Amino acid sequence: MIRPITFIFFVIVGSANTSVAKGWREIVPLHSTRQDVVRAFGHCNDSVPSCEFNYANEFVHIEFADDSQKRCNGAVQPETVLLVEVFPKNAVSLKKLGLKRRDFRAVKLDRDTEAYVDEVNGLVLKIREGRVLQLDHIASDKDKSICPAYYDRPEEFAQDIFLSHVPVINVSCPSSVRAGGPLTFVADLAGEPRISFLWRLSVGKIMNGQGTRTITVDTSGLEGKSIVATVTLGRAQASCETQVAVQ
Amino acid sequence: MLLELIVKSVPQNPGLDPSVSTLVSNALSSSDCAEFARTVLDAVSSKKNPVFPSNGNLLDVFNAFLAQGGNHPLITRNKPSGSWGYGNSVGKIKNGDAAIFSLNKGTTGSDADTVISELFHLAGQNKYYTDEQLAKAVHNSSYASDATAVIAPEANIFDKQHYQARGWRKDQAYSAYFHYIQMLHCTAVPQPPGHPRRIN
Repeated sequence: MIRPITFIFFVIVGSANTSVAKGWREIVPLHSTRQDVVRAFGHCNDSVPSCEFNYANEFVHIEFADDSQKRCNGAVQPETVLLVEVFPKNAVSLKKLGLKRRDFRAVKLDRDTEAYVDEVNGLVLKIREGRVLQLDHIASDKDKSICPAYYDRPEEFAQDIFLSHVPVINVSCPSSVRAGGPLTFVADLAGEPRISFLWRLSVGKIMNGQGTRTITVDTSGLEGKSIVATVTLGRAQASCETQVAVQ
Repeated sequence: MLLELIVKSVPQNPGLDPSVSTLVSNALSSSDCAEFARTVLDAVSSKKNPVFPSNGNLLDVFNAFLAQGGNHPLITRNKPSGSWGYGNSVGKIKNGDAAIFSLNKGTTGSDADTVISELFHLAGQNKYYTDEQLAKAVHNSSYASDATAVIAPEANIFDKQHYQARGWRKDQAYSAYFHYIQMLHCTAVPQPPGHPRRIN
């Protein structure tokens, strides 16, 4: 089991430039933890498998290893950073980021978009018309064998989650269940996104599956109530409602 | 029995699953959807690119889509490379070769929703109505006020102050704007009251 490396932060507070090094602003996948992120940025306090926030001129999405450890087969401690996805508010050139084209392997994603992959340093870029739209900081070549399933095919980090041109997700659920019985909500999506399905309930408790496409909900004591489960995946959000029958 | 009667009343086509066809017809027949579609189609229709069939509503467009004959599947599971960014449609209803791309893992409901969404693009006689045209039609109508409920300011391309592309092309942002408001009115997968689909 890898233990996140403790290190001192040298966060350049107030800098408006997009920083590119190993990791993002000293947050390094498989080395940094949720506590490191909270300490440095004051975000991501909730114990859900991902979080998002705006920082300087960037929008940031961070994925953490979760309790289920499904993604890394138990090889990574929960709360370890797996991915830092950064969206500059304005697309920037490679030059402005201090990067060189020759350091990347290019993969065509669709008619006008490419992924640039630097496997050595663990950096994937989404490029359109020569401009960088998105930076995915993943494990470096040195570390990725700890969690090969998650870091395999790195170009997919830059791929759109939704195959349809409409970024939409559906949730399916039974119309009613008996109280105390198992209740499952399933998000309908083709493909396996690298970011988490974030679920929340109107009432009740998620027994397992937070972060994945399927959750199981505890319906004990919820007779006569309806449970609305809402899933958020990237920018898209949808819900489904189940009535808990009175026995 | 009731389901059988409903299915029998909907035009059948070997190219489209009858249960998908029924869901689409039911959704398009609601007065709320019919009024929304009429507002949008009236705004995008032009002399050069009128709605097909002529003066038709969205249910007429769907029936014309079904009536293309059973020569080709109306839903394709293969991503149409040429149409990317302009919807998930290929061909033209007028030419009898229109089809809609829907995901290979699509459920009946999500297939039906995809068909409903794509019919707005396919309704143009000569060219697809683009996401930008459709979004602007909604934005310039009373339906623009729906945006607050279903589109975060950061995802709303018309909100110049707050919009963040986050890797979207403009047509993707217009698509999100149009289709999220459209799905409030025309959908085969209704959401729980007070919990509409939302784009953030």
